[in-house]
Amino acid sequence: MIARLGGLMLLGLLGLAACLAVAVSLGSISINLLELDDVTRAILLDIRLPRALLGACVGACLASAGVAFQALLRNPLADPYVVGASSGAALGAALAFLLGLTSVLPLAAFAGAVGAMLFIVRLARIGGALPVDTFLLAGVVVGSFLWSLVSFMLTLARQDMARIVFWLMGSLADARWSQLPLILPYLVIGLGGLYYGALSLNLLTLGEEAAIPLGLPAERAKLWVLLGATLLTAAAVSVSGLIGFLGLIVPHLCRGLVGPDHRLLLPAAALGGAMFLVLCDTLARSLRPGLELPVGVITALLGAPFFFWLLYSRRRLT
Amino acid sequence: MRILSALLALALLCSCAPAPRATTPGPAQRIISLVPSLTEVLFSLGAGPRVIGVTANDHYPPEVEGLPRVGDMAPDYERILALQPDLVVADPGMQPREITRLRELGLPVLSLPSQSLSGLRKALAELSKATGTEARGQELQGQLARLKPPPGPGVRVFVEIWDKPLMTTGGGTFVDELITLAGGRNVYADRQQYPSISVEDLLLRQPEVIVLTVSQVEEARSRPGWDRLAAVRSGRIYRMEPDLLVRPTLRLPQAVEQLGGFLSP
Repeated sequence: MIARLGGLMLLGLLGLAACLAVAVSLGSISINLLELDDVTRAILLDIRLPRALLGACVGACLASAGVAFQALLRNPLADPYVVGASSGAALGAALAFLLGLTSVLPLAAFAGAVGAMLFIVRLARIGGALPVDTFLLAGVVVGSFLWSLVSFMLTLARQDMARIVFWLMGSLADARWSQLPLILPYLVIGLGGLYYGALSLNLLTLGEEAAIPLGLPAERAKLWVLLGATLLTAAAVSVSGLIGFLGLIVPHLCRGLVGPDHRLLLPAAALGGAMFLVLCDTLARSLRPGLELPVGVITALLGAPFFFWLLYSRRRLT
Repeated sequence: MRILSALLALALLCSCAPAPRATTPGPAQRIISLVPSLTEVLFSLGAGPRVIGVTANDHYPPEVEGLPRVGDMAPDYERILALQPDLVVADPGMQPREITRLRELGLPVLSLPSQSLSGLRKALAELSKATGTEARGQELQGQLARLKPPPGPGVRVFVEIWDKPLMTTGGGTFVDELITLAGGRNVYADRQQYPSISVEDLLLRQPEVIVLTVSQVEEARSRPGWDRLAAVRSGRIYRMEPDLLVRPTLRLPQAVEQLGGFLSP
């Protein structure tokens, strides 16, 4: 176990370093890395590097939150946005745009995501328990309600509409050094917390009926997992908007590679998500020089066919 | 994680303060415009040859077609840095966060709220100062100052900014100011910004003239209820190039003349 984890981490970190190197060397202009001047150095260090590192953090947050939600809800369709965090964040962001408070946009999105999640948990708790089905249902209903509020605001905010929609599509274009301290603590605490509870996650995937006799205080464990995953999602959304697909697909890909044990799956997904988003964002900003593509388009365009191939090759095996 | 923090520490050590760029004391020589209307103003001032980068939405004057594109709504920061501009022109109404970011990168940004007639006058003054074209600037200010609304109550006009949903201009916008200068009276002057409206409400207001931008006259005539509009029945429905109508530029006299032509009986 320890040896496998060590090997995985080493391989993953090397891979991530390689991805970061690729991300820093490519962009909308070509730079000779051997002959740097003041301007090209500023492009590498103040534009590309913070953006690549932010992408790595966001990818790690979303993928590990996806793992946690899939385990918690015992649902392969779950992703970080399945239970209202995205609509809450969207509402917070739309409000910030509408009130002209764009400087506190990350804070508004973060508060929206966490607030929506707290409300849903409050709504879905019956007695001391949080039944998974009720929770999902409450999440979907509250999510739809919040989205309708966002749509309503969009119709009010005619001239800001394009900006809000662009934000909703997800982008790392706003990346800068000062954003890394905003997301890193949540990544460390959230991922660390989830990893600490990895064995509980293993038991939760078996279902509560199985987990409780095996000694898991299921209700408390669920709340902690939920808190960790929510913080990870909210932190990612606050700096990058809604980047879709990654949180759904990377957990599945990694489960195929390292198996369902969360002690391996969580770090694998975090590293895999980081690499995946760094590469997708590199494509997003270099494919059409001068005109950036939304990174969410790339994550879906690249991720979906890869996923098809994975499903297809599995089907042939069985 | 470890490698992330190591990289982070390394980068913080060796960069963070961007290399201070030499600020040229004289008029700007390498200008990037992030606002199409301000690009036009720069060309009107005769500073066009010094413009080295524009947005993907820039199409006028024709000289911009060959220039490097540095983004659309979202600027491409690394292309902008690589072009080494000594002046970046932006609009805080459209790009508030982007202006902050550009300044963080050490770029000299001129922030010009320019989406109104007074904003256009101010932008003209600031840009002529920054580019050393004050004489031409004075001349253009004169052209703008000569524009005066004709006497009389004004022809009641509806301007369609967008078709689905149906959107028009409220009072106080640049388009509204343009309508007044051309001798018209905006039937939606009581609304704010760019409101979306219903056909029912439009039927109640019965404008004398309709001006379309993105849609075609034939298509608009055939919309349900539009045959009940007096302007449609009397054939006083026209189309204007959207850029000419909504962008505050020195083509304003031309826009006033064209719109005025539609409004005169």
